[in-house]
Amino acid sequence: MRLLRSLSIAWQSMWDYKGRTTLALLGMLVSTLLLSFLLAVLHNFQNSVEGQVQGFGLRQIVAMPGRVLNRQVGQFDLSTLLSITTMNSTLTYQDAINVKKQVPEVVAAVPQTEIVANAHYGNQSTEVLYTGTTPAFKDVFRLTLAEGRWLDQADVKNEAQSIVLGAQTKQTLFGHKNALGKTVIIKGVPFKVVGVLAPKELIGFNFDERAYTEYPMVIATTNVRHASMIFFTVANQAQVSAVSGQIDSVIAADHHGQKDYMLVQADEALHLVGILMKLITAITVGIAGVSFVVSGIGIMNVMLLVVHERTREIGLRKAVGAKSHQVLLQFLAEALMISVAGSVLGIVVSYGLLKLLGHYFTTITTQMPLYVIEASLLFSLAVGLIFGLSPALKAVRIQPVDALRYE
Amino acid sequence: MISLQSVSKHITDGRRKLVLLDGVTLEIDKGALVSVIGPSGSGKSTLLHIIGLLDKPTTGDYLWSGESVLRLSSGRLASSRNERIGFVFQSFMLLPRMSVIENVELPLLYAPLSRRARRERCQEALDQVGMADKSRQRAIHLSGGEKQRVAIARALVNNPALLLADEPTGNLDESAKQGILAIFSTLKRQGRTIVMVTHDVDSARIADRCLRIQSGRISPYDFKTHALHTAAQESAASVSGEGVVR
Repeated sequence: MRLLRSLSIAWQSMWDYKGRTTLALLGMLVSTLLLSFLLAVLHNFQNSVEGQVQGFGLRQIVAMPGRVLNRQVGQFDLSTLLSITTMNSTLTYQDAINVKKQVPEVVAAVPQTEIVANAHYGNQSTEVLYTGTTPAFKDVFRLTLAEGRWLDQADVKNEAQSIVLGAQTKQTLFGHKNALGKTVIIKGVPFKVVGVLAPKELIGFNFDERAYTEYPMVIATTNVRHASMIFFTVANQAQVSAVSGQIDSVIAADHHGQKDYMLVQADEALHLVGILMKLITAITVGIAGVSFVVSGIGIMNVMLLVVHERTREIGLRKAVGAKSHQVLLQFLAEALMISVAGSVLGIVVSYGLLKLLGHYFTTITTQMPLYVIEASLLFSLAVGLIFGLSPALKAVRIQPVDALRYE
Repeated sequence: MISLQSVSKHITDGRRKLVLLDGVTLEIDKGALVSVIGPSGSGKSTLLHIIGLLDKPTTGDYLWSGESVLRLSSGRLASSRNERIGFVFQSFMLLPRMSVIENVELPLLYAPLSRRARRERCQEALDQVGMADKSRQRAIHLSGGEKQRVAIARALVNNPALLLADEPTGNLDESAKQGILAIFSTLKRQGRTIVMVTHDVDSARIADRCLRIQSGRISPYDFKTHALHTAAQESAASVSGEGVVR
């Protein structure tokens, strides 16, 4: 009851000093917005990536150019991440074939090579990622066809010059017209469109602006000689680590012991995402923390000014019976109400922005996790208490006799 | 009801020691209206602040119904102010942003009363000073006389045993002053214990007895002779060399 009365008095006081209260509240709103929005985006981003990696399958191992120097088995932390050395690819189609032959646990070995090229149809032209791969690529990435069919072994065997277009490539070259059976020219080679992919969103991959054909065709028609990546699918998820070692041995033998590639397991990628998210979260919380401190100083300044301006009122309240703890509670309640109200508004605005973001980036979910709301409110409560204490104590120390004489 | 015993109040201003009250001994009975007159800086307000438990004497004792109040904690003093004492200030001390009734309600916010009970008591207090019809107005829009009436209502709202008034007519024109004095006269007839500090002799005349304070020392004040009271005027006041007044 007494607390309610203190809150009621505090509310009236805040209302009386609307202008200053609003300014202090805005500072808190911005700080909370910064914290809650960024944390929520990170949370949703991580969720999306994890969901997609898990959708991609945890039985996958990806060979890619680059090295982690002196990497220990099982070690994949921040220092590992920062010590990745990028290199030109030396991976080949033959590496994929050799692994598939020599490691029975590998059920699919899919090389991918790519180069930016212009694709032409009639007088339409667009830049595409001219991608060479094998028929198993569709299953590895769980691609869906909107029209026609995917590449098959006959295309490879017959060098059929078949091509499958990504959704955006098809849209740019053909609009709403049917693309199947039409001829698209890339690198001067006429390709027959045999299929069109449905739109596909996967963070870090661009499927829609590609044109897919058989791997040897890209090697033959461009100066690209190596695979940008090789995707291996392992039969049993429990064997992924062991199989990764076998794949490594095979490729290392092919490369005469030259370790200019690295193998990344899907679960390691998840781990990597986790590490990155922790790092970014720590930085975000740090920046938001500084912002909260600045907001807190703003609240303290406003409250000190309010206490100064209301010296006579404080004296009067004490003269008519207000006890020290009631005065303390009143001014602490004011500081807390400013910080919590600012925080609540910040969370609301943050939620709105998150929904807006989700409207434009459909790959990202738009949940506002409960822990983000709790963290924001806890931060604001702490700021209100810490920075409201000094003005409240100043109010407590005011002597009624001095205050009543104060002009 | 209250008794000050050899009360002195000293403060230091740099190296200088200032004596605000000097050995004041004073007793005020229940139902008495006592006025204290004196020039500016004579110690009137200091005396009132000590009686009102807003300040503590440097030496001496202060008994309320036979119990010393000087050893009370600040919390108990605040409770005592809330329950026993009503203050009327020269400068009204109303909170301008609040309505009349909210100003009157202020002491009750620190008493264990429901909102409904508080509002009922406020209406009664405003009735007593003839301001019930202006309870919703903002204090800032009132005239000086009206403000002082509201301040008196605020002082009465917790039904205090002692009403302390510091220059209650100091900022008022003649007409408003007479109105306020009429209220004090009514309160006196109702048996309220009132101590009124003033430098206005006319205002002081409504008191049962009048005291003069000069350089921190207290003595009886006679309106006709401006001299010490005689034994025949014992009911009004009496004083010793140490400032004993009964």
